[in-house]
Amino acid sequence: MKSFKVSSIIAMAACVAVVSQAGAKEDHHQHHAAPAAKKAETAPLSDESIYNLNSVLLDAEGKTIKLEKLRGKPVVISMAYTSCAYTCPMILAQMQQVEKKLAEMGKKDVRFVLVSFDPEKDTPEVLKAYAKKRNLSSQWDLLTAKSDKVPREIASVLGIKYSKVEGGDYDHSYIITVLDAEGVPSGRQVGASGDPKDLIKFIP
Amino acid sequence: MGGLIRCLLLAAVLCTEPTWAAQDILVPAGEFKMPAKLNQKNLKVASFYIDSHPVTNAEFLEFVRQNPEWRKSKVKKLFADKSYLNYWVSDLKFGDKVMAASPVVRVSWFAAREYCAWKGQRLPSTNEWEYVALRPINNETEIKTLILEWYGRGAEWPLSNVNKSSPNNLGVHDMHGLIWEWVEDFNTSLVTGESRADGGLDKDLFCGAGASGAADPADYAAFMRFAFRSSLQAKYTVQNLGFRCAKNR
Repeated sequence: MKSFKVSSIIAMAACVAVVSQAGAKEDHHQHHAAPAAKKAETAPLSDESIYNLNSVLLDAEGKTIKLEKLRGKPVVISMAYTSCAYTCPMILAQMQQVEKKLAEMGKKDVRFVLVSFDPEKDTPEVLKAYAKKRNLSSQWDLLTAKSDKVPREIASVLGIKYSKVEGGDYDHSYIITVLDAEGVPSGRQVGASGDPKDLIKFIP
Repeated sequence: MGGLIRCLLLAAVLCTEPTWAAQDILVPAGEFKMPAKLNQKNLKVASFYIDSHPVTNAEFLEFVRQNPEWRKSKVKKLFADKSYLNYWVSDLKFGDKVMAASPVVRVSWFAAREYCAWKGQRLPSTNEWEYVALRPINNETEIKTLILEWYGRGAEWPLSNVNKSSPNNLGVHDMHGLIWEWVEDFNTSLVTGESRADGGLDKDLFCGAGASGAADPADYAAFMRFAFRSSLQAKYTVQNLGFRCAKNR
């Protein structure tokens, strides 16, 4: 009992330390935001970074963005489509579990990204409504594109296979990838059975 | 006089133009049944253009000359594995002159795609490729014999020139018998299911051992192509894997 208390106090202290450190970092970052950000952007990307892709995506606001915009924070990324009834909600739920676990650890500087297989149906408006319906936090980005070429590119770098089947559904691999702050894959979960802890291990 | 000059110009063009320059072949719209699939349904293909032969080493050299980021010393690891163009002696030399007209291989899907985009084209889709590949060469029997004989023969090196074998009835060469080719949606076929959803994907694609229902020996060849495609990753480069480009009509 006693040791439990002590360890929980230590854990709480550690949490406070992490949170305050994060706060301090944020402050620091705000003061020196411009030069620091500039430096990060101009440094050449690693050869293995998926941000080398020039794919142009659309966010839920309809703005065009490149993947490189995600640079700077670790990313948990997968692909889905909003009309999907079976596996996609599972992928999303697992990613939300990771988010929850990380939040418990006091780690909030991680992005969660889903890219749509279905640019035709998943317009920015549809994504926006979906994010609302699924209660996605501000750590999330739902992305789509103007043509089928783009999801094919993203799938190619993530090792995801997919095809459109009758009735507008997609068959696809179940792969969730963790990217480091530079967009280099640091690990992934293949298949539906997985513990969020295993994905968290890959987050730097 | 003008006519004479035009004539001379034409002659000059004909002389300097390499004999292996690819032509855009117009493929008429139509329907087909994908080989090696059970529960076959007719698939519709819109009309499009396809190169008369796979991209050659000489053609690819021009691409890397103008696009330095695709030279083998410069290409990013994300876009090609270590064996990218590994038979070329250097960045801008593919080695022996005789290879100029043989198909470029050891190129990744990304490189193939960039090449086609540079040409104002794109990679063909699996459906488009298979649709053209079904077209007979001279007569039906010949194509099947050719395919099965080729698949049984094993790898050849160096590869022979493009356009050496007879074209199919559209005028398209080397769909079979020379190399395997990248398609835009190569990562469509999933032979092993990774989740419940995946399991559904190729349940209608029968495996070699259980293919007793295959009425057509060409199905075996098509099955091999599906299996091969599903084993690929976009950055892989393979000794007998090249590509050709297509274009919307």
